[in-house]
Amino acid sequence: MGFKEVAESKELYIASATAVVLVVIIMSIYFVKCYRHALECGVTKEVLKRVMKSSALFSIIPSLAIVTGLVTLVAIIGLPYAWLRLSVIGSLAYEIMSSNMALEVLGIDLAVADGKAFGLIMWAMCLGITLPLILNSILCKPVHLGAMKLGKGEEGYRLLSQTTFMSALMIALIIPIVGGGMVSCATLLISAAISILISWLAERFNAEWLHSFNLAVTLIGAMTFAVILDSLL
Amino acid sequence: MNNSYFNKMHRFGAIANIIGILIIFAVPFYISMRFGIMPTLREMILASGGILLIFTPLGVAEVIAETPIMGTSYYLGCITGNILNLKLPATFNALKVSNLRQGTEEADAVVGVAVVVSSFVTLIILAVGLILIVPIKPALESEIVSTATKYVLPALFGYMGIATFSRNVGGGVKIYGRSLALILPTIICIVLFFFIMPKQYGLYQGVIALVLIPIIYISNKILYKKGKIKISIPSQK
Repeated sequence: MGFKEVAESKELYIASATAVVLVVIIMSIYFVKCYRHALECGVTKEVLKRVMKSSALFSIIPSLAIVTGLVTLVAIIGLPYAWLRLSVIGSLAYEIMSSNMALEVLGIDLAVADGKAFGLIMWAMCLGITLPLILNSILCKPVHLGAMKLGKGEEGYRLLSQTTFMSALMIALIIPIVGGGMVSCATLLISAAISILISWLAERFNAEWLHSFNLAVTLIGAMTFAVILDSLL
Repeated sequence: MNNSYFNKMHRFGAIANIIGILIIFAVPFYISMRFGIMPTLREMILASGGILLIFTPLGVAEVIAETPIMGTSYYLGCITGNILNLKLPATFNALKVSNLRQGTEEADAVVGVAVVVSSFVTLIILAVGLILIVPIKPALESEIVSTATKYVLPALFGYMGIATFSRNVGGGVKIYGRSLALILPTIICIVLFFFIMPKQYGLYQGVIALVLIPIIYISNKILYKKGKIKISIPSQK
């Protein structure tokens, strides 16, 4: 059996769709648990609605970027498995890197590859991410609860300590963006400026609702700027 | 602090994570059996060894750096993927929109809601992309779209940077002067990225964040004790 026949088979479509449905069920249970608990804690429905609207709005653009990655991945592993990998567990960067690495290590030429090569790529992509996922299940709780105990004793110091993780992660992630070229750096700065402007407008005119659109508007504004600047340079 | 909520959610998250792993394994297992293409163990190890070596230490580093931010939603973030470009921004956004303090039960639950909604949007858009891939392929491969998608992360991180480094940390709490604690970590990252390991930096970002955590923690402690960092806390709601 050929590579493409397996990669585009009806069986793989059905298996992938079933897997996605199961994950949707997990997500739905998660949602109900979190939504109910937020209400129990005194968070109003109004606030939850604002958070949901805002999350949905901003997620559209990064998700479209993932769809463009789907096009790249489809050329390597076919439509159903690419769809599954990007819908469940994987990230765009990991999937493209791991599928290419598997092709390279195994010396597979897609033009003449057989079904067994596809099976190997599927397993390589799965196994490559397994250990971190197993470790997540073990480490997540002690790390989370341990971090919450940081700075225990004095309220102010505890709150300061809680900012440590966000700050560390953001500094480590932002520096390559700053050093990633003029357009990248300028986009970052414009994004920050738009975000500050929207926050200022929300406070100045007492328009709380504006916060819900902050990330979506910032994203669109900064990416539009990036496209214009990129075409000018 | 009442930990029963966190314990409950961690138990649920860990089970969901294991189910996620089983789901992701079930597909290649079924297809390999169905088509008689099951690779040998040796072939599997050979094919995945390099990927495992790179992603395992990174995965551990990311759990330690990202879990305190995302809380119990980290499990769901792992199951649905795309943490950096979707789930982390969703977390920052939810905290900002709700104006809740990170680390509280209500913030954890609200972040959970935001992460699920964000995941649903991605699933829907991917499903639409799957159905319409042939007609939309030329548009997705157009120059404007490919340029725009190249800059998604800078556009997201400008917003996230402001959310992280502003003095307002949620719930009306304001911290003044904490940028002082970030000077040394920033210099370290600049030196690493520009001078020591420009090509490998991307691969070790999670590990670098891990190294920065104790540096920022100790700097915060020293500066707070010296009175250089000041904190204003409003009366509890």
